[in-house]
Amino acid sequence: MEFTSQFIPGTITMSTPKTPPIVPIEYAGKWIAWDFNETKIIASGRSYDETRKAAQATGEKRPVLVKAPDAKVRFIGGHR
Amino acid sequence: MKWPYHPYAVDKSRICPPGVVYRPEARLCVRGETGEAHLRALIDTGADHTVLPISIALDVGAELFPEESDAAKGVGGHEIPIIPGHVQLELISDEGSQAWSAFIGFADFESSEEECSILGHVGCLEYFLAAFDGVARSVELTPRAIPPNGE
Repeated sequence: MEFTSQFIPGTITMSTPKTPPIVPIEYAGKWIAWDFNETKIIASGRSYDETRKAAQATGEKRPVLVKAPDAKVRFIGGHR
Repeated sequence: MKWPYHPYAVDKSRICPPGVVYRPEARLCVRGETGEAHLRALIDTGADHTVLPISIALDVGAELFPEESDAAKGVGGHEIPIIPGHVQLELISDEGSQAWSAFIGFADFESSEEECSILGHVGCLEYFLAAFDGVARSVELTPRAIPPNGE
């Protein structure tokens, strides 16, 4: 893949909820997979790989993965 | 491009009375040589670098440079190895999207429980004006600089 020296017009469109629903505490600390338009959680798991495979098994070709924060441990900083 | 903060239920505590944390996350597509992955990643102005789990690099076939590995750590945290990788990133919102290619870090976390996706300065935020609206609970990134040719 060549390195691009400028912004490229994006190619993906989506329509997501204006007010996202609260992710239930049962998913705390887990990877979550949403459907493409982020209307519902379709899978979850302990790792990115496990969750992606579970999501694709539901038939969603472009699941959206995100790591939910832990229920007890507060996240206070990124990598330095 | 604008995104609402995303709410997550957590245990209630003195520093988190409602038991909900709201995270400024952006919708992201990561493309490599063999595929793409759709994520929501935390917009973190305190992070020097953009870092994703190595599992994502392997999933999309990112071009990796393990001989140039680095290290990273969070506040009070232990070091984790970071492998540079070349990918195309595309930020996506309901209003549109913007793509560019970048060298970012892929972290080899000790356990999958530690995995996280961070949009930091190098590779991402350095190209945008970031506006966080804590009252409206939304975050907006506006393109401000042309990404340089990576070297």
